[in-house]
Amino acid sequence: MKIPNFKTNESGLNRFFGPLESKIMNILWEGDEMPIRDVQHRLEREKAMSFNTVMTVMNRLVDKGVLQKRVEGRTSYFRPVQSKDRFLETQSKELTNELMEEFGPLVVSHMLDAIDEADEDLIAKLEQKIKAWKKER
Amino acid sequence: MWNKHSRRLFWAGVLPASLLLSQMIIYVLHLAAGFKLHFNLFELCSSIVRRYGLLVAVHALDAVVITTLLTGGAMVLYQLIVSRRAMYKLHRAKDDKLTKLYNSQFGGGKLRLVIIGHDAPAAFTFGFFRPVIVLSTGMLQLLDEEELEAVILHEQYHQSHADPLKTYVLFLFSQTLWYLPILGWVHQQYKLVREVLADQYALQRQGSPAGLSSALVKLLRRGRPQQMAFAHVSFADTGINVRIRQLLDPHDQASFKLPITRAAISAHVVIVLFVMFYLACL
Repeated sequence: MKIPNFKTNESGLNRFFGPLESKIMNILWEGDEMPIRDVQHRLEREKAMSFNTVMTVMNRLVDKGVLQKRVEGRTSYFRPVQSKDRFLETQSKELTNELMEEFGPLVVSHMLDAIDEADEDLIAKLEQKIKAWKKER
Repeated sequence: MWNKHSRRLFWAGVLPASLLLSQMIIYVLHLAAGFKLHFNLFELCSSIVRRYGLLVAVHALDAVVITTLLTGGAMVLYQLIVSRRAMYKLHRAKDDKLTKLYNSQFGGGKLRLVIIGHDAPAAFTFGFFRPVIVLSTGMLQLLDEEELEAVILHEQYHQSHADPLKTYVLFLFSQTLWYLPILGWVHQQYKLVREVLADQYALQRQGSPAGLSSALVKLLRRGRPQQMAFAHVSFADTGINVRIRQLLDPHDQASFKLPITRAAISAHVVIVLFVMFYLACL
């Protein structure tokens, strides 16, 4: 699951979702599995909102793979695939892994480059020295 | 001595490369303008050349000039796109709380420091124009406070001296002007010298090499911190060993022998190219 569009200046959930999307996600994360109607009612505590709008957005969240849909009789119930914490964690993990792959060495000054070639004797000597330096204090 | 060496290396790469590249650009402009505006002049020019049977050489020169400029342009474009995307992702991967915390703890908010959630220890400086220092949470876990400060100071040196941009310029020259092998050597050496200077800055500020040294040893002992996708290993990158020697003995004189063959080949290529430019525009 990867959320392709994000806004760099936003913080928290708004990096991954639009404003209505994150409201819906928060409602579902806080509550139980819910049908669209219930979500709409909660949203309407703030502002009137048409059923269709809410349905469209929620179905989009299902397409994105963040919501799960379960049909029971004539009603569909929705719930988040992952808990909020888990979601944020996987999102940023995936992101950093990608980031690490994509960073070229060209725009980056590494703390350590080509450490494979480090000479064992030299490392050992340095370790000795570190011990000595630490004792001096 | 390292500072002087660094400056010398930089200009040893940048001066000949930019001289040659500007000559190429002028040549291309000359060709373009020559065809349109001074058609006759160019006719005259190439007829002289033809008489001496140098036409093939002129075509070869054209090919070299055009491929060089095109590769250069393409590389810059590619790098700009990649960096933009990486910068974008960097902001998304940012750990807001830790970033705030460390920014106020080190450098009093002046540093552009970003903490990203990543298990492998990573520390680098990234970006051409307003470089940011990036540390991973894995790095924060691995190092104690003194070591961490040393690493940040090291990166801060890269940041305040725009090292990513400078090394990239030398890299770009070494790739586009690949027929001047000395440029590749200059790029490698320059990278190493910058690392040594960043190390020196860190230990001067801390007043002791202990913090940086033990950070370095911890990272070395952990094995390779992460496989960078296109991390390039150079022909004789003994960089890390030179750095360790400097930490062991700051007065250790590293020798920088100019690779004679590379230098000689490069000099010949430059001479041949300039003679050809001269002939082509006669």
